[in-house]
Formats: sequence, C-alpha cells, structure tokens
Amino acid sequence: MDRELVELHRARQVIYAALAEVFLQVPEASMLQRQMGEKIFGCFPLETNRPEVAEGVACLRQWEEPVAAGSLEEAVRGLRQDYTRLFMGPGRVLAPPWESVYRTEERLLFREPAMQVRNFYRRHGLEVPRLNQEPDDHFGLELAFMAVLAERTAGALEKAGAGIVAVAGGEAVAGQNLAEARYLVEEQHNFLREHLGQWVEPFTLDVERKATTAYYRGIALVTRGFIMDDEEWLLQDILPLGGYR
Amino acid sequence: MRLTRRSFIKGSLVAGAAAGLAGTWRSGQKWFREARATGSQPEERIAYTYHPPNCGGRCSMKCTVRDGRLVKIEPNEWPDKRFSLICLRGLSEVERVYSPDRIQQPMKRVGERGEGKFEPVSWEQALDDIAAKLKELKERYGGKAILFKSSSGVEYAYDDSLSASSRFVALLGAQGQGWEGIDIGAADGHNLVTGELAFGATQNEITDWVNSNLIILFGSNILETTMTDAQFFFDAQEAGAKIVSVDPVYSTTAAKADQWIPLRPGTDAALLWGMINLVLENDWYQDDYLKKYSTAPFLVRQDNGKLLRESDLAPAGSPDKYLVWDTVNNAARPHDAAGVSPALEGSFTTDGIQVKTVFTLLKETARQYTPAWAAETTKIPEQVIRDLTREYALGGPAVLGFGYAGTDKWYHADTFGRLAAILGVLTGNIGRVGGGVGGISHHITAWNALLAPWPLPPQFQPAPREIPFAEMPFKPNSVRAFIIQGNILQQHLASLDHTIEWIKKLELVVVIDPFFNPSSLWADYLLPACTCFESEYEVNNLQINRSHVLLQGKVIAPLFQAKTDFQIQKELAERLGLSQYLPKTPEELQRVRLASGDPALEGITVEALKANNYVMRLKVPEEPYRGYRDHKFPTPTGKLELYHEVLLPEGMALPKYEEPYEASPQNPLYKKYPLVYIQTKHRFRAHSQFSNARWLLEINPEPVLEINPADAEARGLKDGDLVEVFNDRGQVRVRCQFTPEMRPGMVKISEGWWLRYFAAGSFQSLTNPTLNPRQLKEIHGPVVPFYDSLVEVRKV
Repeated sequence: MDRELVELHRARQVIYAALAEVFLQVPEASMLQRQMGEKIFGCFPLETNRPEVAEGVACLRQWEEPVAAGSLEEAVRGLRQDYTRLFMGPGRVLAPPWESVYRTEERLLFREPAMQVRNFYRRHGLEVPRLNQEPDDHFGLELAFMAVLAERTAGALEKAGAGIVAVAGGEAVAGQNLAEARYLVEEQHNFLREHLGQWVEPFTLDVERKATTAYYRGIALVTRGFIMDDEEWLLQDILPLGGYR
Repeated sequence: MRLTRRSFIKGSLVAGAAAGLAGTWRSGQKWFREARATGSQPEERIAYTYHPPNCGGRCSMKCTVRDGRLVKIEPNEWPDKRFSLICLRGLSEVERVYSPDRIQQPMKRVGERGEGKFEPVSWEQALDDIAAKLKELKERYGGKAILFKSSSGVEYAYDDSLSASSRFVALLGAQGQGWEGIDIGAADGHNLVTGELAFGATQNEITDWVNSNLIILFGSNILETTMTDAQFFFDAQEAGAKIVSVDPVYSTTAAKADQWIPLRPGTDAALLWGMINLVLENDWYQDDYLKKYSTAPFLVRQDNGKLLRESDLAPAGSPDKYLVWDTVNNAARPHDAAGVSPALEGSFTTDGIQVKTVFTLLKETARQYTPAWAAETTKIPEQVIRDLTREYALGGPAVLGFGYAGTDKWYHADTFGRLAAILGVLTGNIGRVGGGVGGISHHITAWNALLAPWPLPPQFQPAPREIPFAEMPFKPNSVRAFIIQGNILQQHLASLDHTIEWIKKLELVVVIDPFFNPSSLWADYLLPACTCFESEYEVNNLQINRSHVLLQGKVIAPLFQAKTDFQIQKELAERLGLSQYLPKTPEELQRVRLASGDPALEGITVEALKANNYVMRLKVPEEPYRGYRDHKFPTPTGKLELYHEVLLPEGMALPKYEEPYEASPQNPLYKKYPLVYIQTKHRFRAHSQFSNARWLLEINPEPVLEINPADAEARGLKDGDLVEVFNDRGQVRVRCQFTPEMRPGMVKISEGWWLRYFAAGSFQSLTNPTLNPRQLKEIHGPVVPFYDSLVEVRKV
C-alpha cells in the first residue's frame, strides 16, 4: 500500500515530465522513439475515467501506427512544422503556450500570472534559467514544476515509509517527512487550482483545434484529461481525508 | 489509506516500473536552475530609451522596470520641456515588447519561399549558415552581390542610411541602399535649387512657426504623422498665423487648418506654377534678394541653353565663373566681381552670343501657366489661387511646407520640389525668420551636430551602387544575397508581385526584425531583433534629435533569444574574420561618435548623459534653429539656383508642368481605371511599424478602402461592403468606407497595413513602380511613384 502511493506519485512525476518535454522541446526522433518505446502515451499508465484521455490515447495510437511502420524522420518533420506553428509562429502563434496570454485581458507575456508562478517556483528553490527573458509561465514549465513536486513527494513518502503504514492503520505519526509530503501535495493542488487548472482547458482546446497532426491533438486531449483528473484526485481523495496526518 | 479509482496504476507501471521510467524522463528539474533571488520585495528601477527612427517623434522614454519587467513608459524630462512628450505609439510599446507574436528564436525556411514554413534553429547554426553563404558569394562575385537595406524603426542600420554608425556595408564591400526610392522625390528637386541634402529641409525649426504669418502645407498631415509637434501648429495659430492645407483629402490637419484647398491629386505643381505666374506678373518678387542670393540674374546662352561663363568670352577665363549683365558697365561680368550691379531681367548680346537672364526665361516660361490655367488644372477656383498667392507673396514671412508622401510619391515629384523652392526664392522666404520651404514632418530641422563615424581602415569601402534599389526587381544586377532589417519588401517597393518574383530568384534572403513582418514571409532566415527597450549592453545607442543628444540605455534584457542589431553584426563579423575592425560594445562606438570635436557637443559624454536622464541639449543658442540666415547655400554656385543645366537634355533646365504619369485623365488607361489610388500615412503607424500593435488594432482593426459616396454609389457599393480594388498590376480585397470628405475620383487605403490584415492581396500590389529616368541625375535618385496609380473598384 505504502509502496503503491509512492509509485503513484512517481507515475505522476513521469507523466508530468514527459508532457513537459513535449511542450518545451521541438520534436526530435530520439524523443519520439523514447515515448513510443516506453508506450508512455500509447498506453497511458494511470487509470482514469476522463474520456479525453481515452480519446487522446486513441489519437496518439492512430499517429503512431503508420510511423512505427514507415519513416520516423518524415513524421518528425511533420511534427516539427506543427510544433512551430502552434507554439512559436512565426507570426500569429496559434496556441501561445503562456499562462499570461490566456489569463490576462491584454493577452501579453510576463503579466501577473508569470510573477505568481515565479513565486511558486522560488518557494521550492527553483527559477527559470533565463529569468525575465523566457516567460516563467510556459505551459511546459508549469508541467515540469508539477513533475518536480511529484518527485519530491514520492521521495518524502519513501523516507517516511513506516509512517504511511501507521496512517493507514489509523495511528497518527507526524514525522517530518510526512509533513513535507503533505505540504508538497498541498502545493501541487494549489498550483493546479491557481495556475495550470485555470488555463489548461482553453489552451489545450486551441492546440486540439489548430494542430495538423494527430500527435498534438492526442497530446492536447491527454493533457487536459490528465490535469483535470489530477486536480480532482488531489483535492477529493487526499486533502479532505487528511491522508498524510 | 484509501485507494482511489485513480490510484490504480496499470500493469506496465506496477511495482517499481515508474521508478525506471523516472530515469528515462528525468525529473522536471532539468528545466530549472536553483533560485538565486530570495527577496520577496519587488525590485524597481528607472531606465531610459528612445523611440527609433521614423515615428516622427524620437521621444525619449522613461521606463519603470519592476522585477526585470517593463511595466510603465512615460515621457522623459527633456531640458526643453516642450519635448517631454510621448504619443499613442510610444505608450503602446509595452504591448509590442511583450507580444506573444514576437519571433522567439532564429528560424530557417523549410518550404518554398513565400510558403511560410519555418523551423527554429540555433543562433549558431543560423549565423554559421549565413556567414558561409556571404563568404562564398563575396569570393565568387565580389561584395556587390550582397545588398543591405533597412526600413523605419531600425536605429543601428547596416546600410548606413540614417546614421553612419554600423559600417557593415563598407566592412563587407557590399551594396547599401539607404533612403532611396521613398520620401525623397520632392527633396530631389528641392536640392537642385538649394543644395540642401536631407529631405528638402531649408525649413526653419517648427518652433519658429510662431513668427510666420502664413503657413501653407502641401500634402502634409503633420498632426497625425508628427503628433508631438502638434503643439507648434497650434502655437502658430494662436500667434496669428494662418495655416492652409493643400490636400485632396480632408485630413486631421486640414480639419484644424484655417483653410482647406482640395486640389485634384497630383497637380500641386500646377498650383505652384499658377502662384509663380502671379508673383512674376504682379512684381511681387523680392528683387534684391533674387540678385544677391540666387542665380536669377545669371545669363543663359540662347544658342545652346547653357549658362554663360567667363570661359565663353575669354579663352583664359574660368569655366566655373558665371556671368551676369552688369548695369554699371553695360557688359557681361562675373557675378561676384567687385562693384557689379546685375540686371535681373533682359535680353543681351555679348561677343555675338545672345543671352537672357534666368529670371527672364523663368518669366517667359511662367507666362503660359496663368491662374486660369492653374484653376482648370487643379480644379481650384481661380480666386482662391489669387488670394493665396497674394497672402503668400505680400503677407510674409511665410512657410511653404510639405510632407513626405502627399506631394512626394509621384513620378514628377522632383518638379514639385523645384517649384516650391523657386516660389520660396522669388518671395525671399528662404533663410528668413518665420519663413522656410521644405519638408516639415518629424521635426526634421533643428540644431544639429556632427557625430564621428566609426573609423575603418581604408581598404573597407562599400561597393558602388549599381542601380537604384527600386529598379532591382526590373533590371539585371549583381545582387544575390539580401540582408533586410525591418520591412522593406512590402514597404519600399511598388507592385508587390514584381518584388516577389525578384526575391524568389535570390540565393539568400535574411530578415531581421522583432516580428514576423510582411518581408519575413520570403526570408530564408528570420533573425529575432531586440526592440529599442532591450539590449545585451548597458548603453545601446545614441542620436541627435530636436537639438538634443539622446542616449539609449538598456531597459530590459533581450526577450526570448532576441539580439540587438549591434550584436548580430558583431557575431556575423566574427565568423567572417572581421570583428577586430568593429567596436566591442555599443558604448565604445558612442564614445567615438561623441568625440567628433563639434563644439555643439562640448561637455556631452556618455557619463554626462547618464547623469542627466539620458538627454542633454546641444550647446547651441536657445532660439529656434533657422537655416541659411547667411544665405550661403551648398550648391555649386553657393547661390539658390533657379536654372539647371543638368536637365537640359530633358528640356527641363527650367521646370515645366507635367501631368501625373499614370494617374491623369489624359492617360488612355484612365478609361479602364478611373480612380486615383493613394496610400496616406496614419496616426497609429509609422510606415508599417505598429501594424501589429494589438492595442491599436482594437480601435483600428482592419484596413479600409476610403471612397467618396458618389463614386461608391456609381458602382452599386454600400458603406462597409467588401470590395476588390484592382488594376493590371494586381488586386486587393478590403471593406469600403464612405468618405465624403475626400475628392471624388480618388480612393485611398492608409499606408503600412501588413499583408495579413487584408482579406486578400496587399495595398502594395496595385502601386506604380515606374521610375522617372531624369531623377537618376538627382541627388537621391528616382522616387517610387506609389500614388501615381490608377485603379477600379468592384463589389466582391
């Protein structure tokens, strides 16, 4: 049981990190080979009721099939075009991947959401490498931040292994690591509630509608389903129960 | 602990599998660095920059930077407080700087040119590729195969057009094309008379307008194009000056002027001829002024049309000494000989050569251009012309000013410039307090000082310019690589479809801009440039404007991967093995420029500028700048020249009236395309800059075709209909907007709209690219006659 909770956070970490990479990096063959080899999206690792995830996985499989059979390079070329148009331009960026654009009336970069996100990162000792040059609130960076917190949660839980059993058994053992894990989970929930959850829907809808490849359509669907599910899970199943007390 | 429906991990990840994958997708940590700043107090500071060329203002801007972000732009405080201003374009810059549409990193074309398919590449790769290609082309064809050109908005121009700061053209031995082709038509002709170089400005500083009694503006909408000078317009009116707007369009400026004269488009020269006729016939000219300061008394040989020289009469005489008819000795004598009293008028014979004074010839030429003829040609009532001329000639001092489009973008614009200057000379209004003739936009005349160019060893020289830039799409030339800063292709050349055909043939096209401007569509490489707020360096640039020296500091770090034009040049030069000849930092360059020894720059250093809000007044008198008070002119004779031998072969040694080349009812094409098509400047843009400013787009969302309701109704159009504007060169689709305050027989789309805002086509597909060959002899070369174009309109 304790192991499973640790595994669960590790799985979340992997999904967040893999999705972060998809949004932050212009696609390359090696990245796609890794994704396909590990079936990270082709066989989504977490059980979920969200129809978006199933639909997204179907899209990704639909994209993968001919690629697995044919030329990866050609597929990568197509993806690079799609990525560029969706997230970089040039010209009107079809799905501008920054929270400030979706959440401010001016639709500009580096507005208040970026500063709030920056404070979140700083609370956890992190900062974007090119501060004030690359916006802090890039969708991929926000996913990467969730991956970091999920990883740290898993680590804290692992260290507190005995304590978890005690919690499951109804005994309150308030070890430092458990407190840390609880704090990290709360922070993840806060971050989802205040940031990722605030714009994942309009942003991924733009990606879904404007993508020319099934790959990014699938990614958009999976991401939306996963994040909405994750926020709900963190809130409904963990926090009210006080599972980490 | 309760298991949730979500917490079931599927088979593939059970029991430690996630840990394995976590190794594959290492934590999200790699996208971050360790936080350096810890303080939660926002850090706030003030920084200074100024707006780069061609917005008409060059406003110095005081910027608030909070936590590394630009959050507020205000006017900087100048020593002369009248310039502590900023307009909508400046205020809207926060929006452009932080626009999600900025080019984030270098991009390389992957589809066909113009297809719009790009992929991000690293700076290393982009610059390596570009440098290799430039090197190859230079070795194989010489530097002339490489062309540089920059548009408005570019301060550090590689083509050396607006400032002698970059020197890239010389360094590569390439061709640089500065401000040829656009905004220089009237200046070409004005220069023939006055010798003045820059944009026809024998104009006093606009702050001198309060001393004028009459200000006539030809085709200038200064209240929109140079908003920050609007105060001087109204100051002049309050001081009693009458302001007249000569413009077929009831512009903002016309609306605020005391009189609007809506002449037929392209006939400004006819109005001037009518005025000159009246001045000459009524003896309203300044006799003494003409004799002393102009070539009016010079003698013209009737056998060959040349000016009579000393060498014509005596073999040992100088060919550079021009003769006048001395009324004291009743003989031809050098104009500058002691005691000479020249005849202004007359026909004489000397040594068997029949001569007439320039003035007499001018008078003879002018005789045909009666006020009645001018009225018929311009469609202005004759009485209006008579009244205007009397006021101008007798009620001075008076200003005759023009903009850089209305009278400029015509095939015969040089003649307009000549006639304007000649009228000013006849009435003694050049070099006079409250007078002046020439361009009046963007505070073009003010006190100035010499900035020293960055020195290069003598082996570095630009390649001679082969042909005017505007001819390159049409005539064979050596250019194979084109490095564009800003938006040249849609903005500096007419007939866009021809431009594209040419561009597609080139081997390398590089576009450098913060945004995906319309030129970028045809680029092989797009390089993201910084805006005027960003820099890698603490000191970025410097210029002299409105009698002040402005320093541009770094406000914020470059966004995304943008680089300054300085840095891009530096990194390209490094790859070409030439960087040792360039300044290491922009500050080093500015120090050299300031050390020119010009006394007006005394005490002005980088340190002093930093200590004084980044703006200092030149060490010059307090009064407005007034040019040529000494009446010594930079012409070959040192005088105001009314007769131009250089144009004898064209029969234009004295100007003649010419109808617009295309946009005239006398043109057979008029039957097919009966509407004159102009593209006026707009208060929300500076040329095509700010076309993508979203805040401005909120109030001005799309281009429209303005059309007089009479013309619209004749074509069955309703206000707001989508229409196609077309001629043999191309078409554009836009909504039409009824504009009763514009002459019938003409339509307009305001200049500078980027391609993507049109339903189809571009405003520039329709414009006339025909160049006037005689202008090859003139100082700035031929002007592109964008306005000299005919179109028809139909409902889509």
